[in-house]
Amino acid sequence: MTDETQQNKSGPEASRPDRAFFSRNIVKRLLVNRIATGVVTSGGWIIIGSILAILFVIVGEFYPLFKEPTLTLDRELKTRSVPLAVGIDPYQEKAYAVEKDGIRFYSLLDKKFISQPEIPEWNSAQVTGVFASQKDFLVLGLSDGRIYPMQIEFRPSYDSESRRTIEPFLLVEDAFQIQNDGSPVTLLAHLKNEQGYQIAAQSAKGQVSLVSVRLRKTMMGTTRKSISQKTISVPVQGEITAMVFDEAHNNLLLGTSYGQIFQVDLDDPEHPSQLVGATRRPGVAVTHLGFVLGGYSLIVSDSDGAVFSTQLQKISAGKFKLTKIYDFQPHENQSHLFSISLRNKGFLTGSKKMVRLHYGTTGETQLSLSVPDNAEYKAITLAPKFDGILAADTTGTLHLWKMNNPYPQMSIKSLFSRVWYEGYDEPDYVWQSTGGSDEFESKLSLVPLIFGTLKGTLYAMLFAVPLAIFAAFYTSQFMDPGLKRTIKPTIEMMAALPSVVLGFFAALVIAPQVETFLPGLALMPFVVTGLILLALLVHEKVPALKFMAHSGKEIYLLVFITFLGGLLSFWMGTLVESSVLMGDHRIWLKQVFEVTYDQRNALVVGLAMGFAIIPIIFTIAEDSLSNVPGHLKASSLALGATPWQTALKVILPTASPGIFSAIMIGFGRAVGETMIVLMATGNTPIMEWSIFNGFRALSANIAVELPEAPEGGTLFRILFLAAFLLFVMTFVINTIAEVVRLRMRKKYQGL
Amino acid sequence: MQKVGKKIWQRGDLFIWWTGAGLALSLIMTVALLFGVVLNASQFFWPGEIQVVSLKDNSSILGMQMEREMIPDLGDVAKKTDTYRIQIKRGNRDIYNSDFIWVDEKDIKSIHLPDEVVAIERREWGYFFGHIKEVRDGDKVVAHGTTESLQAIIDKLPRSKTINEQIKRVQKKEIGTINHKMERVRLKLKKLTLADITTGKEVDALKQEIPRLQAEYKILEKKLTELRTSQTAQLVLQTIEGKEKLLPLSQVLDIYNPNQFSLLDKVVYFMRSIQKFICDDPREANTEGGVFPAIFGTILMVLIMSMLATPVGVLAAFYLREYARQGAMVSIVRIAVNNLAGVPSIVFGIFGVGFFIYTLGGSIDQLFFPEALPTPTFGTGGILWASLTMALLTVPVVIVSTEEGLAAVPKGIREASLALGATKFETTWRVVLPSVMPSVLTGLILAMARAAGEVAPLMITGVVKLAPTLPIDGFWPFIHLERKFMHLGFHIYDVGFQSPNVDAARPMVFATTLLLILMVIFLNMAAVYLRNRLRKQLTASAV
Repeated sequence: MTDETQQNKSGPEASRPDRAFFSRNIVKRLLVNRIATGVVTSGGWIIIGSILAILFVIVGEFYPLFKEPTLTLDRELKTRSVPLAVGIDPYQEKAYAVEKDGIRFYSLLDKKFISQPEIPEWNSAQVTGVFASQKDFLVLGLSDGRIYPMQIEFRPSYDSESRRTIEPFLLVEDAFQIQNDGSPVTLLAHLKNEQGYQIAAQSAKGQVSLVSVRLRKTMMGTTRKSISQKTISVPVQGEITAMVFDEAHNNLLLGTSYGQIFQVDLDDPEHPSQLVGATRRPGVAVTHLGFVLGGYSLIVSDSDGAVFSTQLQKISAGKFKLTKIYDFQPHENQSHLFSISLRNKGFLTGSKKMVRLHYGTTGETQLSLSVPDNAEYKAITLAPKFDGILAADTTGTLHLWKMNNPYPQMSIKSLFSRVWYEGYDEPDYVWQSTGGSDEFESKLSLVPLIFGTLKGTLYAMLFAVPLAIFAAFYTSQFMDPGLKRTIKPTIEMMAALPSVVLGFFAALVIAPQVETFLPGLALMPFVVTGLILLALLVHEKVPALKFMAHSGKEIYLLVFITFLGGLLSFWMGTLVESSVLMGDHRIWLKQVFEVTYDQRNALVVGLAMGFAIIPIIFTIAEDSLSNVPGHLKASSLALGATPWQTALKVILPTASPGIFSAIMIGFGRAVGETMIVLMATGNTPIMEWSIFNGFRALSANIAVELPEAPEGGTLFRILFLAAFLLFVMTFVINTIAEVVRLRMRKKYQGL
Repeated sequence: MQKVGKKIWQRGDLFIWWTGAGLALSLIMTVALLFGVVLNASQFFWPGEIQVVSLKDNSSILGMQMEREMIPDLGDVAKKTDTYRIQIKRGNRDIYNSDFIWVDEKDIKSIHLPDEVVAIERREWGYFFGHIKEVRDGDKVVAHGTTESLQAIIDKLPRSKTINEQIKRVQKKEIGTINHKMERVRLKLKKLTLADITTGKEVDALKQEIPRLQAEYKILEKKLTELRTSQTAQLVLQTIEGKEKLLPLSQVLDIYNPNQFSLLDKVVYFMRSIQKFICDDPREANTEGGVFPAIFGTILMVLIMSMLATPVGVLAAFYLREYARQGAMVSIVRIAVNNLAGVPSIVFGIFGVGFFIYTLGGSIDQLFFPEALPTPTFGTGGILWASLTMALLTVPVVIVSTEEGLAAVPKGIREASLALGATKFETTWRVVLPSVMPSVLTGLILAMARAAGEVAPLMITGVVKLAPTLPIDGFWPFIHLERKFMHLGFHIYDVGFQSPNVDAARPMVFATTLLLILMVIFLNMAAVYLRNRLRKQLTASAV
């Protein structure tokens, strides 16, 4: 044994490691191999994971837009008597109820009564009517013919450990006597703004008392009140059943039991009132009139239970008309309760048995609450943060529902169909995401943006596809191979140009030039063709000049011809413009075709995007044209076809799937292009096909609006939806292109 | 003639030439764009001459001629006017309110080049064109008249620049360090407060730091004041209308008489402008100065992105070619790669905002930087998130290129290695990887070129118009991945479109565009060269 081992350690076998060492080493090597396999596989998984992650993150961000709003009953408590109106603080801790004998505060948090504040000079009156604004300014109509304005404030206070308590306060103003004979005031309305407040109350049949209190701040810091009171008579058929102030036009709108709506001009109350609108049929009384946030859309509720929105439109000087906008889901009986949101265009309407939540911009009814069998609704209000509904019924119970409805205006309909916005004459597709005030109605329709993307892509393809296909055709079929090696990288260099450079160049250099030389640009194809014909004839006829264009090297001459043709056509264009086109093609376009010319328009974008797309289409198309098996070309030429006939009738059809795939990929790139569109269009979200004005594309819109969109808000999520649309579009296009390309590869294997 | 025409038609030559014209047009467009950029950018670097334009109403304008255009006729539509107007850059924005002015050619009496004139590049308010009445040092008058003053200032300028450098160093480095330390103390105190520790040894120690640092600051402040008061030299400038202005020498960056430049002087000036453009910080809302922070930001982002994208790309390519069994998995990964390549860049940006910034960044802030809240540290755009987003965008480029390289490696080499007993990993690591390295490099370079040019996703993930500091500085941890940065491509967009002074910004934008194009073309050519060499190498070593 020892001899053998000794023998093993000498000679050529001395370098072989012994078995033990070998087996340890192999274990380690196999382990390393296995780990490496795992690492490499994870690389593949990371790629799949990235695409899925992109998909999930984007869908996750916009998916909440389409969730249905939910209402859950949170708590109930009993009031001392049946309220006529209720109100609630923003944190839903405290509420107030206007009851027959005054105002009571309740704690919703602890579910108990807090206090009934003393109202001076109450004189044991009873509350017979009330008008409460959403900002908690109340005017009570009393049984002794007085009206009593007052303001309720919920003041938060924080203790040493930042715990919050809300304290309700009642601040009373002066009362006014409306009915001198002491009959109760039942119907009233008010309007409060920085200048003071106005109250209208029905004092007798066909008579309305107007009280106006103006508050002016003096330089000393005190407030001076000036009060004026007068009575106007409004002769109407039937009784006045509803009243509301129209702040925008300084009017008072009155609804009657006959179903008519009248407008009283407060600047000139003596002037006879105008009939501006009516309910569906005569005899159906107007039960309530109210404006949603912004004071533009008027909601009319009638005794049939119908609820519809209207806008006051001017027909001629001084004459107005209420145009109906939307019909909301009706109630079964008359609806007379109403409450608006202070954050958006949502509002509540209530009948005895049902409360519905509607949204003004879209015309949708989102939620409905019915009341338990033996009770009827008496008062309703929307919580200030649009996150709850407080309702009181005839059993004296206050019900509080918590609402989850963060995106009330969002639905597939509002994003993709026409919506009738405030101030517009008809429903339309509009994208206007922000405005000057909090009451601005965001117009978020994706249709103008999708239109813009398609328009830009179309014009880009219109310009790029012919050029790229021609170039690929020529390069693969008719060009000298040595020259091809220089030309191909040059075109690929075109692909390297960053799109921001192209966009900048388009906006600052190309756009002004195109504006000046548009007629020349239009003439260019014809002039160049003419020059080519001329050159061809000369080439044929004068053999000495054949050196100019050797077969395969015509490109040199062609560059020269194209350049010359360009200059010539620009010069001719200016001549044509001054003689035929009235000196300025913009004016000519406006007069003859009624088309406005914007400097940054789809034509410029088409040219610039062409730059970006031509190399892509060229590379792929040229590859597929060159990959057509050589024997096809050789046999065609051998059978006597000219190179052109061969190229057109043999090569092109064979390579057509590849060319189609190239065009699809170019299309996909054009759809997603951001910087060029951002810089070279006017970024105006209009929907016109004209090549001479701008557009706004989905991609540019995202880039522009995302930095300003508050995180998690409606606009933010809609931009994610826009990104999703882009993703889907390019996914579909790329998949089609890939499938076609794979099929083509299989086909060639056969050849 | 007819026969010739018919022959041409039948041969199809017209169409052949037509297609060639398509190619020609594409080539011309490319060259025209490059040419246009170079021409406009050179205006920024090459020194112009200062002219005196005497108008018919006996007033004069002193400045450089920039543009000439035809005056559009707004009233009479039928006539095409033949009148032109020129744009003159007259500088002196602080005196005239606008430094560019248009003058109708018909109002011009004569134009001549004065011998004695001076152009001063100032730290504020841009250029000054005019004459120097005298140079003062404190109360003494040191030089009179333009030529003498010019020489005197050129002599004094180096010392002034040295003192300016010292001031800048005191401000940025020394006071900056104190600010940085104070901020750290504040954050540490806040961290302790969040953990409900408001008294104790640690808190006291930190609280004592503050007055100490403030004392240090006072010393530095005094030093600054000393340095500033040592700059006593002043120029009394005079515009062509005779208006005088006092300019401290410390405000002068450069002074020269362009009308006296010889060709050599002009070339030297040209070189110096290029150097200033590349190495200086921007001034005057990005319309003057250089683009160094943008270059730095672009390069840093591209580097970080490459470090992230290359390993993943190479692994994925190896997986697709070497390790995966042919079947559903490979197809899925390939589809995923193709789609990643086709997805618009802005979608990557949105993903970056939604996932990286708000989800990942927000969580990192909650876990590691709660004391800085509500100011976000990583929960806002920054160079890390921007690089990650770009890495995702450019991974397909690396994958495609690496795959190409792997396909070109002859199968025989792998089989030989395996036959000799190597494991698959050893074959990959020692045999395949070295030969595919050039392709990986090509892919990497193409990815870098793409990243240098893409702007849309960066706009929303962390690029800003003007970054106060670079992402790399002297404070631990030296590289600050949460900082926002500047980028050349975004610089073009911002300066070109959102600049307060469009005329002044124009040459700057063209210069930046030229720089970006050169960068991108250079990277692409390097990739092409590598690819060609690789092809030659592998075809030579045919196994």
